[in-house]
Amino acid sequence: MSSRSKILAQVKANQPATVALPDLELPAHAAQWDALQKFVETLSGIGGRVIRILPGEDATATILQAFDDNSNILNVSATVQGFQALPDAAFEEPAMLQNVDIALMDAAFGVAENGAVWVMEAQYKLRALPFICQHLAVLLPLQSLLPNMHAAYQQVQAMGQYDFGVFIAGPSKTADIEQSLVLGAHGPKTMTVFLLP
Amino acid sequence: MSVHPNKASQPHAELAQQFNKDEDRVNWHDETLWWIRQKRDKAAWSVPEWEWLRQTASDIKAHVLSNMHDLLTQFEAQALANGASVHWAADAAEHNAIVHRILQENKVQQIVKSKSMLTEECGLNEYLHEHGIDVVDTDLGERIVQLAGETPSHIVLPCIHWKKEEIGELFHQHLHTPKGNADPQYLTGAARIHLREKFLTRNVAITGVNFAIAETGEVVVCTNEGNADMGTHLADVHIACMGIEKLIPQRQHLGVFTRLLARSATGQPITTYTSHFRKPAPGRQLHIVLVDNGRSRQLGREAFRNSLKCIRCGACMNTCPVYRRSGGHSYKYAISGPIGSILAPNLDMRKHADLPFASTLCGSCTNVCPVKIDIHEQLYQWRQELYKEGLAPKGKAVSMKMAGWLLGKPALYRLAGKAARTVLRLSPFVVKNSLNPWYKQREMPAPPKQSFSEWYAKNKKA
Repeated sequence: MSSRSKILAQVKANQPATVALPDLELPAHAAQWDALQKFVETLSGIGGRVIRILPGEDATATILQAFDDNSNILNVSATVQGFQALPDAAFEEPAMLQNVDIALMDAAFGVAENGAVWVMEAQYKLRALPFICQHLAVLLPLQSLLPNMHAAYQQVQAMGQYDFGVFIAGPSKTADIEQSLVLGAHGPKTMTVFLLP
Repeated sequence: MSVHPNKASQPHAELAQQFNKDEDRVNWHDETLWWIRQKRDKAAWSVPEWEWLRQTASDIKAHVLSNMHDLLTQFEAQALANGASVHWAADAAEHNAIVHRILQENKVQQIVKSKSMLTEECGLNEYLHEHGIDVVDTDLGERIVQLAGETPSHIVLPCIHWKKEEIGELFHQHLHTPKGNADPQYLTGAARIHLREKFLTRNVAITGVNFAIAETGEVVVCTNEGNADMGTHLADVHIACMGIEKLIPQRQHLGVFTRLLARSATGQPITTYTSHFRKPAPGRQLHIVLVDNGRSRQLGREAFRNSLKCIRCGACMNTCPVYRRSGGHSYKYAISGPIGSILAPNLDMRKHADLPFASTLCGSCTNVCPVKIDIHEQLYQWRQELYKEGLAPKGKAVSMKMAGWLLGKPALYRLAGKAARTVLRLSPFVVKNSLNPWYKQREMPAPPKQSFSEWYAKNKKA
């Protein structure tokens, strides 16, 4: 008998009588907050930076202003034009992106309760990009903010299937050495979210 | 610090005693973990619906345990449809052999691995090392203990027992950082450079799995460092190793678990990265290894079944007064602390018979558990099982038998109490000696002059 059949047979023999799935409706006393305020407060609290782009403001200029003039910005966003494009060769050899200073991409939505943004490979093209860059920059429409992870997964579901998707909340970090927080473990050392009007 | 958890043979109490020789260090260990427990409290209290989340998570997991057969086959079918390969391993040996075979098929001898308690449970690193494969653990804490020839002492905080000066010295030896530099920022920077080179050059990446979704066939991996993503997205082959209990029915259930996991573990609102792997990237491979290794047996043990709900947050360790003052290595098992003390005896009752006794049964673990596992009650249950099997620690078994005999004879009990009070007053060394484990690190209380019965009899009349 294969291990598969053996495991499945023993699981079937040992599992208890079926227990129904619980209702996922949030109770009346669940947390409520101002989504924008909570998002900014939370993301700032976990080491991220939030910059608002106001109506009529030139997004490109604001983005440039937010970083060193000398930084190279690789742009895979559909919202903002300009900057450097993703080289085709990177699909074969993503390691060549190791020297990308800043990667700029669109996020689908943000989550107020934890400062996370949802990005999908289909949006940013190459799976490794938001992790291998030294600094991550994300464009996020203000009206896309959702209160919590329950709403977030409803939205994920509504957006259709993905191959790879990730919630990112702040820069890569570690506290493994005596619980001292250090930003920039293996991935980006900073994360900037540009909130679009 | 030199204890290798899988090699030590002494019982937990003896290893804990060794750990307690350095009082300052024990106090530091204790306080660090308590600080993390306090961060967890703050995070939990900021969510008014916290108790609803715990109950809902527990109920979802109860459904999973009751429907595991169908959820496993559903997950497998979906994962295959997504283009992943699915492997089934009955035990640790088969798991290790499957991983090794995938490496051989891809002609790879150097790999990176992000945190996976399952691979620790299976002894994968040691097995692959014996087969000439070089495994680099990429979680910073895991890399530190790996360089030191140890295993993690905590499932979330692998090197919580290491001081920064010692890490500075370790890095000086292995990564050639300047001697005497113990700055966490600097040392993390050195590790970043050291591990980037591994990420950029290694073609197979192993990860653990936090959640596997039956409905979609995807696996979800949570890290703060981004090491799972750096490893997998820069490699041609991703091997995701998971225990069969990691299943959840639907994607929407992640809304509950992602709110609980990081808050319970470290007090963060969410891990930095919550990565959803549904399909392998074009031209690349995704292998998912489903491991039983005693889980289907535990499923059939009614008293211990709920231990399979565990999402490996580590909150029970951070709050446990025994764990905090004995260190993870004293448990000699990949998953230490209260939950490990339930899981380990399921795998090998004889080998881990000491663990259910490494608890005060205070219940703090049960109170913080995000999936409401009745941890301290299961530890108590294990003690009874072990007595029945004749596997309880010798001294305890004898003293419990005597206590049972004495408590069944009220007249004799009263006489014994009187004798003990007199003896304790006149010759306290009878209990204040090294043969009595209760006297270790404790003062015995002064014996009362009379028993409660005597006091009551006297005062009732007055």
